[in-house]
Amino acid sequence: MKDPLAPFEPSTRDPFDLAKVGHLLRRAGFSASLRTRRELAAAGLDAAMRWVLPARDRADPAADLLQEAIAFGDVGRVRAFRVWSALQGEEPLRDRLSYFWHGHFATSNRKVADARAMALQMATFDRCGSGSFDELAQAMCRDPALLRWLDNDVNTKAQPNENFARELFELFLLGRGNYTEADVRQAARCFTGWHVRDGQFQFHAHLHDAGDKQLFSASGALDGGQVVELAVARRESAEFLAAKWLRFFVQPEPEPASIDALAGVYERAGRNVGATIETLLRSRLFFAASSQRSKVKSPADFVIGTVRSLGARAAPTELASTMAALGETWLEPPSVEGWHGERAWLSPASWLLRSNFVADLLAHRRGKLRPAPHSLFDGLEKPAERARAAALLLLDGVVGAGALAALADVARAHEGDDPAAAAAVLHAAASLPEYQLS
Amino acid sequence: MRSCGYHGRIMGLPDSSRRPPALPLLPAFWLALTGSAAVAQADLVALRGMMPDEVVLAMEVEQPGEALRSLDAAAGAMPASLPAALQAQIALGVTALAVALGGTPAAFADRIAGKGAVVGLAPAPRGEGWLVAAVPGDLAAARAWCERHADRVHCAAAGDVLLLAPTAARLEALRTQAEAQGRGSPGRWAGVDFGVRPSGAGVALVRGVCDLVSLRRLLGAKAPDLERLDGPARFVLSPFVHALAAGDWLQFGVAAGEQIVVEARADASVRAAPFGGLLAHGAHAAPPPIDTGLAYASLDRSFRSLLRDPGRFLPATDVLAVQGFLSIADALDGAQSSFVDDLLGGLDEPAALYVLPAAAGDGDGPPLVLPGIAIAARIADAAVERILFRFAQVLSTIVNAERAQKGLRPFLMRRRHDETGDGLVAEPRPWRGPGRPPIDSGLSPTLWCGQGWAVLSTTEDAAVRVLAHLAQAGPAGAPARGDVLALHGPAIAAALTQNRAALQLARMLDEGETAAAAERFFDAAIAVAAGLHAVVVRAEIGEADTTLQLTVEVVR
Repeated sequence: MKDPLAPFEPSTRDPFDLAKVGHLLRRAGFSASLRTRRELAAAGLDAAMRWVLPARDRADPAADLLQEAIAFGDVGRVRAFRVWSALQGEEPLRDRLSYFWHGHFATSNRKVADARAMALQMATFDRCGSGSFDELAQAMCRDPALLRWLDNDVNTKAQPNENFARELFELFLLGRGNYTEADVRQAARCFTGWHVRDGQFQFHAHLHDAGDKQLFSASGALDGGQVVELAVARRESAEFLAAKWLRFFVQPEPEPASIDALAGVYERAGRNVGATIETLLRSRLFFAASSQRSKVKSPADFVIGTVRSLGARAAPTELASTMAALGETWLEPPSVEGWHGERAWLSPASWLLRSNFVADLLAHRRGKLRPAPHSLFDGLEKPAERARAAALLLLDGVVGAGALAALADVARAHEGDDPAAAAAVLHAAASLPEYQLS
Repeated sequence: MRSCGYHGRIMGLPDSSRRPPALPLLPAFWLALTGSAAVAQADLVALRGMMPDEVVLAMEVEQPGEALRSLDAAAGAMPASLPAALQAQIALGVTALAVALGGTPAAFADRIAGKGAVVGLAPAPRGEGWLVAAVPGDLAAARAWCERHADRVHCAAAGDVLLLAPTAARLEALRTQAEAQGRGSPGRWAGVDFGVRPSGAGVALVRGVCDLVSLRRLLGAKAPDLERLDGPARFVLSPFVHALAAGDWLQFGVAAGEQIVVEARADASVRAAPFGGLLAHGAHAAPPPIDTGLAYASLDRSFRSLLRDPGRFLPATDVLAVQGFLSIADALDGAQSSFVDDLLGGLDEPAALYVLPAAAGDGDGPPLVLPGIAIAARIADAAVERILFRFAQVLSTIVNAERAQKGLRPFLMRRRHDETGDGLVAEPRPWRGPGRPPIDSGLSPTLWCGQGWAVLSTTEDAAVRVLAHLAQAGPAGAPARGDVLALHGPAIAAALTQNRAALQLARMLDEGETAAAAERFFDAAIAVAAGLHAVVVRAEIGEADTTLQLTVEVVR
């Protein structure tokens, strides 16, 4: 591919069809109902991009209900609130980027032990996640949950703690190999006195090392803010982020040329995340056949995506606990590295759990699913028609002849109008290997 | 009462000589039952005698139409604040019902069973166990209705009595017994005591009896059994589960006047049984209820007895939990006192639980303001006050240490002293963090001792209000011999309204509802709560019987 990030131009030979809409909505959101997918396929790529991109003039129910979400002081409720926000799908890419940043600046409430701080960190991702990365990085260096998670609230002039500075460079801004141990020590001094009090960031000047430091090419009485400025301006930072975005949005193993191209886009966009991601989502690389169904669905993709693909509603608390059972407990990542994802999501046990989740969901054992599954098959009586409908609902119709025949066999074995018959076909479709891929 | 000449006994069914004693209904129910004069009615005993012996529950209604009218009047009008969409749905349902019945339910009841009816329930699948023997107010109209619904209801006449059943076989069983009744061989239900008989022109009523022995036999392994309950359930429910597990008969009645009263009474009491040791034995009066709260509860149970001998009452796993709890509780006050003997022993049982409205706050308070919850008990030994304060101080220190570990500002401990007594208050620090204050900013855990009472509460305001109420209530009344749970709808509606946004979100998260659906739910819940002046559940555990009474009074 000459310029992998050149815009995808739909044509009669390569149209913007249901499969591409489904791909876009899965990667830039958490999928959508078949009706929405069909409408966007008919409306075209620009309309679909408008649908997923953050809109500043839209009401934001997640922001409006933030205080109520943290009212109970319970992290489980905050987690369910995040699932609810993703289920609502009012801001697909905003929610998707917040999901990305949660894995990037991975912070766990198991140590932070403050549901409010966790909720506010997620709200920061919602607010700043698609804007300037400089601003987001500065905000995160003042984020109470992250500072506590990485021990910076005990980082003082007398006893510098390098944990925050090390992870800042290795996992958040530059990537391994792009800094030295001396850089870490100098940066740690810059962040001394950056503490948390009463649930918010507080700079304690008397605990801050105001002496001269040498970091990268700069020197002087540097502070934490200047560390961020120096780091994000480096080409290594652009390449580090570009690689992560490509792995998250496009392919698990991106080509170096794609990384280089996206890093260039990012720098030319003034390090604006939203503009960079929009370019990526519009690209030929994004819509290439090799990109589609190239990633393993995370538990969130699987659980939230299934409910949204069915055009249904379900209880977010139940969905959050299912995601946790499948290995993805939002607000409690396994380590500061976040979730490793991809093949790590799948095992014989997790596959079975995924299949059981769909069976439980369709049988209303995970709370009431509305609309009921059999209403999705209204008017369809022939097994082949039902198989095709299930494939459209869950797989955008992209299934091999063998899989379609297998679904028809299931439909034939469960003929009738009863909910169990419809559930059996949908359950079979969701158990296909193809459905485990995004 | 063996007035109907039934002396037989059918194999496999309980001996009909088991007679429930007369129903000693509580005063309000008694008044409602005997409030007005009756017209000449069908012989309900004869109608009961038509019920096959397999029936396990029978109900009799002297004037079904009047019963419905009385219930309707007692229930009051639909709350005006009920959401318009819900009002429309209800109105549609009522209209559809009226169309199906050919008039109002009361008018329908007048036609089909205007002069009395007995309904029996026998074990059967798919809800096909009901049987009705009724004397219609308008036999021709009743027959016409039966003909119109012949696909769902099977009817037959036996003199001026109309027999109805859901299946032909069930009707045949009813007709066979009705014929036997006509020959002077009534079924066993004719000999069962239905307790109070309305005399004069009583408010229309429903009375019923359930044959608990037959019911337990039908339920088999699913029959009520205390041994299957966990510890907390045994503590709270043991009198009622024992009554159902050991009683022969459960009588019940519904009355409607100023209030709707439902009362059920079983002829067994836990008092003489091993679990009777959990009762507080009516030694003391419970702290009196308060009318301005959201809820009041008092259980005639002894926490002290439970903790003193947990192995007697609890399953093994719960015994271990109690022992674990006591090992910590006893250590809190060092070697100075015993939690069970000195702390609980220094307080009279039963205690009472009060739920009071939160003090009015400004708009910058927590998004979720919990009501004040207080537990009050009379002090039996003045020495307990010192123990309670030491306990509270140790617990406060532990809580503050945990808060500090989480980066939360500790509660500020303050001693209070005024004319009502001495208090220890854990005051929250002013919130200086981002956004609205957290839920614990609305709490000020308080222990207050004074005027012979000890009050432990979630807020200082609640403690002060409960203590003032107890001081005003004066000397203790009669010893408690039962349980009371009282709910006050308007105060609950106000609390729901105050916390509505947070509760709505909780419903959206837990039920998967849309914001609009959650809003409709709370519109309806608040309207219904605001329309209920009081809902009171009383239980009286007598020497040989157990009575449960539900009273509902609407706002008028």
